[in-house]
Amino acid sequence: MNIITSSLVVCLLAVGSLLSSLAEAAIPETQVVRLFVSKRPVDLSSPWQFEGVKQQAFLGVMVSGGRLLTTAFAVADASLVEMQRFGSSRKDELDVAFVDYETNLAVLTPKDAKAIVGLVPVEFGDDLAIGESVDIYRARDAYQLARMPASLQEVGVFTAVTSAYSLISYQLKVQQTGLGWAEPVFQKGRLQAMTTGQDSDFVHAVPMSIIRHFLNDKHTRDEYRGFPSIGIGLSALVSPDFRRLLKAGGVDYGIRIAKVMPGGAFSNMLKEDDVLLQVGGVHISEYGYYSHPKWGKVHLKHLLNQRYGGDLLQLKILRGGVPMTVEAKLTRFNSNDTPVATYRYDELEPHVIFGGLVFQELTQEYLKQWGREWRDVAPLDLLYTLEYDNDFTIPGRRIIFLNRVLADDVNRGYGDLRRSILEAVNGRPIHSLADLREALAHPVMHGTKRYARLKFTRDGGEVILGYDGLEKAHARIAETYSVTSPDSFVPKPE
Amino acid sequence: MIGKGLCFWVGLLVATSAAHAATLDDLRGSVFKIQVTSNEPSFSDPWKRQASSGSSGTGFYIGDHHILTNAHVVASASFITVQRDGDSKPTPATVRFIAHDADMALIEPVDPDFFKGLRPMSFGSVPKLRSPVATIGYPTGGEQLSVTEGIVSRVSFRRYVHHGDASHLLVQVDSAINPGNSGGPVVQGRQVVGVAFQSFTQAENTGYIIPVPVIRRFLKDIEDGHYDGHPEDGLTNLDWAMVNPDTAAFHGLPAGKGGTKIAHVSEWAPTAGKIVAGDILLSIDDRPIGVDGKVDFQGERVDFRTVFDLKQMGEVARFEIAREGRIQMVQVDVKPSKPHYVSQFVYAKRGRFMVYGGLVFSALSRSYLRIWGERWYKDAPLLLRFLDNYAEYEPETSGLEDIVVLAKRLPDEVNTYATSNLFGVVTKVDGHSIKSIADLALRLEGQGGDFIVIDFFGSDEPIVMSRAAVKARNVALNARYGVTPDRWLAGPEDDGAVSVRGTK
Repeated sequence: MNIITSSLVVCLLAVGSLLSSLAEAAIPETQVVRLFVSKRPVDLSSPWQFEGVKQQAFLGVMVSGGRLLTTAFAVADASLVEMQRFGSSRKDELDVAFVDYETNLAVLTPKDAKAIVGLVPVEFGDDLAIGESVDIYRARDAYQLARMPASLQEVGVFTAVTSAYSLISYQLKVQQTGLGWAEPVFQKGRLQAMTTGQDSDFVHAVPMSIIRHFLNDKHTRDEYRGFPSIGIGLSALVSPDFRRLLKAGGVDYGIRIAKVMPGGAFSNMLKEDDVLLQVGGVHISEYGYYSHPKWGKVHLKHLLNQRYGGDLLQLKILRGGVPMTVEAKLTRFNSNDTPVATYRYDELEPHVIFGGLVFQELTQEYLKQWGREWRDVAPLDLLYTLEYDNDFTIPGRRIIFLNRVLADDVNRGYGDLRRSILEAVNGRPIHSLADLREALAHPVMHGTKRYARLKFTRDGGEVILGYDGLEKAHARIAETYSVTSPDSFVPKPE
Repeated sequence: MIGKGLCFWVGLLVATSAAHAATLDDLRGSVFKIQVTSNEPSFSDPWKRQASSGSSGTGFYIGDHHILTNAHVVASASFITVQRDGDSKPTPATVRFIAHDADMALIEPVDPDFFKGLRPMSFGSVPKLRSPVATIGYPTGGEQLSVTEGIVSRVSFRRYVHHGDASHLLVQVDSAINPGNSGGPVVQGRQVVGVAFQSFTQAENTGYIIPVPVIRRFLKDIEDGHYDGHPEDGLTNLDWAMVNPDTAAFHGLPAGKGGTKIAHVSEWAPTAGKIVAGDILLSIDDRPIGVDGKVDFQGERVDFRTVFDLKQMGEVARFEIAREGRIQMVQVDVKPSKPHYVSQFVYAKRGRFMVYGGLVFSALSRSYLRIWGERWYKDAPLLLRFLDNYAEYEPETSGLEDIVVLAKRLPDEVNTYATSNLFGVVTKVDGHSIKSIADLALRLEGQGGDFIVIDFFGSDEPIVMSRAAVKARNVALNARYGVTPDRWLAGPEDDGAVSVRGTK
């Protein structure tokens, strides 16, 4: 009996292998290419220059319209993107046609159309169900792909790797490590997802519905509608006491609106302590979830993932126990709307140098320089600013801070200052580098001399420098510290 | 500026075996081994106390039946004995005065004849740089007195780790001052020039002693039977700014001649309203202040704060300042600061706390932060670490007597849904600002609407509980978890953080 059962298992396994082989045959190396990306991130300690070039390898997938799909992370800070087809030694240069860092997706096009002749666009699958098996493909060598079996373990809303956007993501259970570098995920010959990262034995991947949303959009800066924001903060409404306080005790669903962002889609319609009952006609639980037909309990943010910036959205709320319906046009989400920008790729870090004092915008990328534990070990007041002073209040508000001082006679006595947040210059509050430039253009007169008064927050105190001879000092500093752009300085070097 | 966050200094409390035989026969009879059983409060369950522990240190006879030692030797002591060199019989002793900010205490043996035939040790002055000193004590647990030779390597104004936030004059010596040496006399010849009290664990053979001016200040402070503590200047200054020619010219002063620039004046300090941000401090009590913020003091260059710090309450400090191009004299009356948050260790019977409806609220302190272990400065929640450093600069917290933290929830039906904001900082109850644990108690237990609504710093999610349900359940809930007492609202004077009243 045992022997017969074992034989049966062996037999079934053999059939399974055959099916897998057929599936593999449906994903020829003619649909996937290797990407070689030369990256040149900005040097955040010397923001007028890039760091040295480093090379990374990713994968790209042929899609319709002569385009290749990959992740935004793959092409972030790219100075050169080249593709190589499997089985070929030839490398062809690609243009980054469009990137959406919010969803971590990008499309590339060949500089020479001949580069993609013979490549076959993939077919798209539908969203997977929990437990379904898939194959993740990665480059085995220059000739073929290697197939890594995986299964969909969990679906949840997570912050995208390259942004602050809350995006639905697959958690694929795998045995292998070293995945998450824009590998395509296939099932039965159809593209199901693109990987974006790995945590131990889970690979994160962007599902097909998000990829479709991205690819169906118009890929020009002006026409791209992107993924929307609802512009509110939520807090669970589980406590019966709290529900009674908000006069929401009569219904057993609905989440509390804890914050309404100024300038957001519903900023003039919703209030703190409204109870959100429905989004687009879909019931929302007290924790903010809705019931997805395939995935079960999913956060309502996924309902936004399915819409475009500019779409109309109807919300049903309770206010003081009274049901209301509000409707607004959704705005496109932008991770960098907050004072501490989430990301900045592909460009030099904006900065201003005055008297050797280097001022920059505080960004998450800057704080990440403190390594994996940056949230614990980065400077305390900068971390605090990120976590507790990062609400959208003044349009375009940025946190401007003194990164370091390029020591020179002009700033004698201040050489040790660093990482202090700027509050005001010459009596003007500073909320952007533009504010700083403008303020520096209006010196404080003291007697017959012009001075700049730079006031920092908390224990930072005030720096006072004169304007006389500053152009010459800037020329000296530019020479000493290899600051090549005169625009870095206010005023420009003489 | 005064740096914060030093974490690698240690007190010198725990003793092991003796290392070096003493040779100073004249002095050895006046130096004692102090053994302490201590019973420290718990800061995770603030109604409890930690298990008893034993430790030892050193002390020496200064006359009037008093032994001088470190505060950290006898802090939280439940039983103290003192033992003479060569005497096998320990004698019980009690604390008469304790100054946690200066890490000094006076203890007194219960036996009135304990000092019979002994000569009190006398004090010298601040030892000169590169001069030799000898540290006498009972290091590393030994029964025999030992003497360690060292050389004075620095005189500076630095943090006293026992308190956590206070800085005073100290002397650095390049000799191994080991655990158990704490409270021991450091002598030149027959005269005491300091008290051994802490070491620097990241460098070998670096020890620190409390110099005579700080000791004398302590002894003078308690002459009226009450320890008032060191004054707080509340000044944050930007050293070296006045070396910049443009900055100096703006302030109407010649470059490099001197003065330190004030960046911030704490509103709770005696200097508030007298000195303002932007002032240039040129001198204190006629001692010129350099661009490095230092003054000449007994032959050494030390932080100008030293002069203010050594004053007694009721004295005055005279500052020469430059303000808006005019040089003027400002007189500051030295007096206790207004209540405010201090990033310090608490040596009270208990930390301030209150339990209500199973929610445990604790006053933030360095002791509370140590719940997160040795690496609390990294592992504790960001908001608590931030406020510990910057509370006085933030408008939301600058006037608070306590920073009230929701420290724990004791699960019960009445607080089942009050799961948010753990380690959050309470800002309001029912819309009223909360300035202290006492204030919190008043609001939580006072009259109000049907619901208690507790708001937290930086949080959009309040805790809401039925006022009637919490009130009805509170006693049984506390009984369930053995919460007795359910609060400790002692004020700053009672909590031992700065001083305790003498009872002589």
